[in-house]
Amino acid sequence: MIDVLAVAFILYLIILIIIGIWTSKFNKTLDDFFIGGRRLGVWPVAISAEASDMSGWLVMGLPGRAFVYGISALWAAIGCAIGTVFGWIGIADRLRKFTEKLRSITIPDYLEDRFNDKSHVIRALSTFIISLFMVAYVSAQFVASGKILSQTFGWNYLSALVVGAMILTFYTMMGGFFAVAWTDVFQGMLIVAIIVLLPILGIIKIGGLDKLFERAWSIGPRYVLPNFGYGGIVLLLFVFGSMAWMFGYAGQPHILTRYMAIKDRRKLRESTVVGVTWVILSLWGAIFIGLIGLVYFGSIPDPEKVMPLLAINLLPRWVAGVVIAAITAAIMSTADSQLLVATSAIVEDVYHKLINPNADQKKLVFFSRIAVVVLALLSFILAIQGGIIYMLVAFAWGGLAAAFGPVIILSLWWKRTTRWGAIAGMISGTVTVIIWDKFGGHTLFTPAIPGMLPAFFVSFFLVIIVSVIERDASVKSIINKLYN
Amino acid sequence: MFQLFHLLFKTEGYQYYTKKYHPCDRDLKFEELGKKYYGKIDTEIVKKIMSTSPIGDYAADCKITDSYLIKENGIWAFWGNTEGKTWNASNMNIDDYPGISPNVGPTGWVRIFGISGKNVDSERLPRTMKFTENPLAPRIIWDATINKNKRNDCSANIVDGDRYIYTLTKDRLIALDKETGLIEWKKEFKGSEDLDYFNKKIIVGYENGSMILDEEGRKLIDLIDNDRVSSVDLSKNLISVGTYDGDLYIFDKAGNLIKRMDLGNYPLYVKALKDKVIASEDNTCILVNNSGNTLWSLKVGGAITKKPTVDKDRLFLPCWDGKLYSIYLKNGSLNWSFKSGWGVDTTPYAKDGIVYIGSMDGAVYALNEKNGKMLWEFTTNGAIDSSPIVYGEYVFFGSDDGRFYAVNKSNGICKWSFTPRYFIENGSIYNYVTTPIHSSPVVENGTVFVSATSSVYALDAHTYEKVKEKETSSTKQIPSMTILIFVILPILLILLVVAVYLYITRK
Repeated sequence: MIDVLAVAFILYLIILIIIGIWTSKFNKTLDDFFIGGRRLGVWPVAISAEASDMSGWLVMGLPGRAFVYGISALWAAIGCAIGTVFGWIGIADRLRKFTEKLRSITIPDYLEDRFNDKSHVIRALSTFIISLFMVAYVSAQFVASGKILSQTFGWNYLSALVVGAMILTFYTMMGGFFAVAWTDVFQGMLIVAIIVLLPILGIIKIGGLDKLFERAWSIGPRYVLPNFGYGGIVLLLFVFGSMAWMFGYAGQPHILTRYMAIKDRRKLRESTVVGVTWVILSLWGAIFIGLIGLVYFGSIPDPEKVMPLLAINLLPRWVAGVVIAAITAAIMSTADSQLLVATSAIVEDVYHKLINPNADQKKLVFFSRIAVVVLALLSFILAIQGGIIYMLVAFAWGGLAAAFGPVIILSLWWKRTTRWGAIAGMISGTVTVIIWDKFGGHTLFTPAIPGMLPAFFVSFFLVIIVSVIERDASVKSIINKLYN
Repeated sequence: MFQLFHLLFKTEGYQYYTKKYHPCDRDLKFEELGKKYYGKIDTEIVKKIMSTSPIGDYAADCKITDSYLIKENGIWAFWGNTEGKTWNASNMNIDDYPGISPNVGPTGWVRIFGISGKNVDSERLPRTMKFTENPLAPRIIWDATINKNKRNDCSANIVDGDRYIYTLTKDRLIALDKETGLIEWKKEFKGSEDLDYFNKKIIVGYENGSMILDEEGRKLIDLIDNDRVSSVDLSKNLISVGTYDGDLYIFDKAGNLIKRMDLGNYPLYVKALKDKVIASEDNTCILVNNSGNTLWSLKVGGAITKKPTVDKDRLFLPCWDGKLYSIYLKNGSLNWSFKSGWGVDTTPYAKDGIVYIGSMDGAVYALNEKNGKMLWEFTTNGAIDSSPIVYGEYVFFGSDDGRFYAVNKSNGICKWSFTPRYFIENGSIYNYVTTPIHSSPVVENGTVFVSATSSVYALDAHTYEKVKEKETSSTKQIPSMTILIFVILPILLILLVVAVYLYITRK
C-alpha cells in the first residue's frame, strides 16, 4: 500500500527539483548566480533571508531545546528575534547601499573594497573563514536531514543522509541564487504555516493553554518558569548564553547576501516587516512545539525529533507528510544558501578575482557548480558522525558571528575602522570560537556559555583597538564615496 | 616436562596435565578434610570445605547439593569467591557497564529450588512492570556501611526494635541508631541465620545455637548449645527455635524448655503465636500447642523454607511448589491456594483483607485474602526473595534485579524505586550477581529500612507524596500570567522597535 505520508513528501521534493530546473535558465552571469542580479522583490528577499537563517535549528534544534528547557528556551528565541531586527534595521540598508556603490557581490568582495585592501589578505582570510564555518554549518543541516528522514521513513541514518544531501546539492548546483531564493520563498511559507498550525492543534488537543502549562508544571515547575529554576549568577549566565545568538546576525554571509539582493533599497522597510513577522511566528511556534512535545511524550530518546514525532502523532498521515516536508524545507533552505555563499567565496572571490580575472561568465558558473558539489561532499563527510543540531549550529554560527559580525558592524557604522583592525577582528574571533568550543572553554561555566559570546567581544574590541592604533588614511576617498 | 617447569619456574597446576596423579596442594587439602569429616559430610560441611584455603583460593562460584535437595531439584549456590575474597574484574570489559566496581565481592550462600515442569505456569511469564508517569528516586535519609570488607553481604536481616534497628550479617549482630544510622554496638555471631525482636528482647539463631539478648546487646539467656539453628521466633508467651536437623524447641518466655521435638532431618522454620507454634520441615507443616501436642499436620507439594504469616483464623504458607497456601488455623484444612510462576520463598504479608507475596518468578502478587483471587501483580527483572511489607499506601520489597520497589498497594503501580551502590544500569543479569536485594525491609514512622550491598539504607517512605504535595500545593500558584507576559512581552517590544524604525524612515 502506498503511504500518503511518503507521497506528500515526494511531491514536495518534485516541486523543489522543478524550481531548480526552471530557475537554472536565468543564470547567465555570475551576478545572477550569486545575488540574482539584485533583482529580487520584497517578499523573496524577506522570506528568503529568514528561511536561510532559520535552518534545521528552527525545526529540530529549538523545539529540542524547549523540550529539555521548557519555556525558558524562549530566551534563545528572543535573542534571535532581537538579532533579526538589528539585521534589518542596522545592517541591511547600509550594506545594500555600500555594496552597490562598491559594486561588491560577495562579503569578501565588500570587505576588500571597503578597506581598500590591495594585498588581498582580507579576501583570502574571509574566504577561508567562510569556507571553514560554512562547511561545518552545512554539515549541521545534513545531520538534521539525516535525522528527519531516518525518523520518518525508518531508513538508517547514513542512507537518509545520502538522500538529503543529494537532493540539496542538485538544485543548488542547477539553479544558483534564483533557485535558492525562490525555493526559500516556497519553503519559508510552508515552514511558517506548519510551525504556527502544529502548536495550535497541539494546544487544542491538550485542552487549552492553561492545561498545557499545568501539565508541564506537573512534570516539573521549572519547565514553565522563565528562569528554569536558576537564580543569581547562574541565571545570568543562562540568559546571556541563550541570547548570545543575537550577536551573530551581522556576521552571517548567507543572510547578508539576501540584504544585498533587493531590487530597490527603499523596499527594505517592507521586507523588514515581513521578515520580523515571519521570525517571531516561527520562533515562538517552535518553542511551543517543544513544550507540547514534553507534555505529550514525557520523554523521547532524541528531543530534537520532537516536531516530526508530534506531527505523526497529532495529524493525519498526509498532513504529517507535509510537516516532514516543511522540516526538510527549513533544513534545505539554509543549507542551499550556505553552499552558495561558500561557493561564491571560492569561485568569485578567489578564482575570479585573484587567479583568472578574465574567465568568461559561462566558465565561472560551471566552476561554481563544481564547487557546490565539492563543498557538499566535505560537509557530508563531517555529517556522518551525527551530533546535536543545536550545538553544531551554535559552533558554525558562533564562528561566523565572531569573525565577521564586529567587522561588518563597524565597517558600516564607524568610519575609522581600518584594514588591520578588520584582519585582527576576523582572526581573533575565529580563534576564540575554536578554542572555546573545541578545546573545552564552554565547560568552564554551568550552564555552558557558547563560544560566540566571548569571541564576539574579543573580536569587537580588537577591531577598535587596532583601528585606533593604525589610523589608515588611504581609505578616505572610499569613506567619502560611501558616506556621502 | 610439566614437572620440570614446576621445579624451574614454580608453575602451578602442572599436575592436571600429566597422566600420573600428582596431587597439588588443593587435592591434598581435599583429601585431608575428606578424612577429617568422613561419615559426617553434609551441605554445611561442604560449605566449610569449599571455603578453606587453598581449596577456595581460585573459586569463582560454587554449587552444592545433597540427596534431599536433589529430590526437590535444589542446590546451594554461592557467587563469587567462597573464601570471601574480592574478585578483581578489571581485566574484563567493565567499561561496558558503567557503575560497576572492578572489585566484585562475594555473595552469601543462597538456596535455590527448581520446580517440576508440571508446576511451571509459563504463560504467566514474562509480564510488564507498571510505573507511574515519572518514577522517582527516594530521598535517602542515611546509609550505613555494615561490612566494609564484603560489599555484597546482601542477605543481612533487619528487625525494627524500640530503640534501634538491628541487622544480622553472616557473622555479626549490629544495632544502628534509627535517626542517624550510626552503629551503636555489635556482637559476633558466627554463621548466624535468623533473628527476631519482641518486647525489648532480641533472639538470634546461629551456627552454635540460639541466644536472647537485651536491647543493648547484653546476653540474657543461652537457649541452645552446639546445634545449628535455622530459624527463631518470639511471641508474647513463647520462644520457638528450629534447627538444621529438623528439631523443634519450644520455650516459655523465661527461656525454660517446654518441649523438644524431632520432626525430621531437614531445616526447620518456625513461627511462634501467642500459645502455639507453627513449624515447617521439608514439605510438612504442623501446628503445636504450648504443651507440645501436635494439633494438626499438613503436607504440601514442595519444600517450605520461609516462615508463614498468620492473620485472624488463617495462616498463609509459602512453598517451593510455586504456591501460596491459605490454611485454616483451627484444623489445618485448605482454604485456597494460589499458584505463581515459580517457587515462593518469601514470608507473605496480610493486611486489610489482602495478602501480598513475592515469588521467584519475579513478581509480587496481591491476593484477595478470602478467595485467593489475584488483584494485581508487579513483575520485576529478577527473582523475589525479599518478603514484602505494607506501610501506608505502599508495598515495599527488594528484587534480585538490584532494585528496591515502592508499589501502590491498591493498583500495583510502582511509585518509586531505589538502587543501592554498585547497581548497574541496564544490567539486570549482572545485578543478580552483584547487587541482589534479598533482605526484607522494615518500616517505621515514614522511614523504610532496607539492607543491600553490605549497607543499611534508610529511605523516605513518603517520597512520592512529598513531591506530589509540593507540586499540587504549587500547582495552585502556576504563574500563568508570568508565563504569558514572558511569552508576549518580547513580541510587543520587538514590534514596537520595528514600528519606531518605520516611523523614523517614513520619508
